[in-house]
Amino acid sequence: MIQAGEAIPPFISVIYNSPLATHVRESEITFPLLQTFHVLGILLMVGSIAIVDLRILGVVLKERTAAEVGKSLLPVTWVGFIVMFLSGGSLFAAQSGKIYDNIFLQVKLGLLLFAALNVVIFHATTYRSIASWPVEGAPRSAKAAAVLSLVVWAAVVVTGRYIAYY
Amino acid sequence: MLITETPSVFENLFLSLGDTGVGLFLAGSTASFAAVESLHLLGLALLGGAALVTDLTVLRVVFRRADPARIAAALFPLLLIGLSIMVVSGVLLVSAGPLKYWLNPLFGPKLLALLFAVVAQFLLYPIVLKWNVQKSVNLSKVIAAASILIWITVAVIGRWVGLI
Repeated sequence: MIQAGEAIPPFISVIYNSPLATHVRESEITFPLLQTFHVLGILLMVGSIAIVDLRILGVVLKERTAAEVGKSLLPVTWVGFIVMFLSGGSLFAAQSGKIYDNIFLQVKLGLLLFAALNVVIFHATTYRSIASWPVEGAPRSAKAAAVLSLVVWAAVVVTGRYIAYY
Repeated sequence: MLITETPSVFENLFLSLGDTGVGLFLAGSTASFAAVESLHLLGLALLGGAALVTDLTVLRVVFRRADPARIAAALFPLLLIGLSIMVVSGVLLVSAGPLKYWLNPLFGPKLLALLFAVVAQFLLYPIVLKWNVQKSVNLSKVIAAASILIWITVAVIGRWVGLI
């Protein structure tokens, strides 16, 4: 319960008291259902991202080019992202008044921002030349971005799990 | 700690997980338990990602120009690594409180669904190899579709095991 007089930032208060957040919080079934979707979204989004990263690193699917693997799995990643964003956003809204100052939530949001930045920078720079990457291996900058991506997404999953405990 | 009058060897073994050093440690440490849960989720990303992409390739949704048998073979190590991580972390999670899972009505169904999922997924490999035979193509697609549904079932029941 949120205590009267507790200083909640006004925009958190608006989110927390929205009809959607209130419904999710008060429904017996919606909250765990959204959690289930959030778990399934992990395999769609993080699973597909991991396969693309591991291809760039030359670990799996070496027979296919990195360009083909990236292009083929991008729709899976997008579906996963939409599932994660909608389920995660609703779960956050429902609990926002209680967890907005949760340290793991804040670190997770920071990591998500960082992961997004990594994607944007990677696509604006190294990725432009993906069609001409040599068969033997991706350029060093692409491999660095892939390692960063694997580490950051794993950290997003881990910090996400810890939110519930603190 | 035993709950039936004549406990089976399996029940004894299952419940004795809680008396192991690691079981007692995880039962007493929330942070460590959450770390193992996180590992279970990361295993899910690998296993689920590899299984889904394999099945979607067989269904000709992704990697349409590739030979599905080669994609399946290429992703098989990832699938095995993911499955191993999930099984090891899963056993560790159970060891933190085996009685809770023994009594959980969804735990048995989850293990059964897992068995079906593994069988379906592994059945796919020898069949998809005969991709030039139309009968084999059709059978591969049925198994791939079933495999996706069963894996989703495992994940969904898995989430609810922790909720009830």
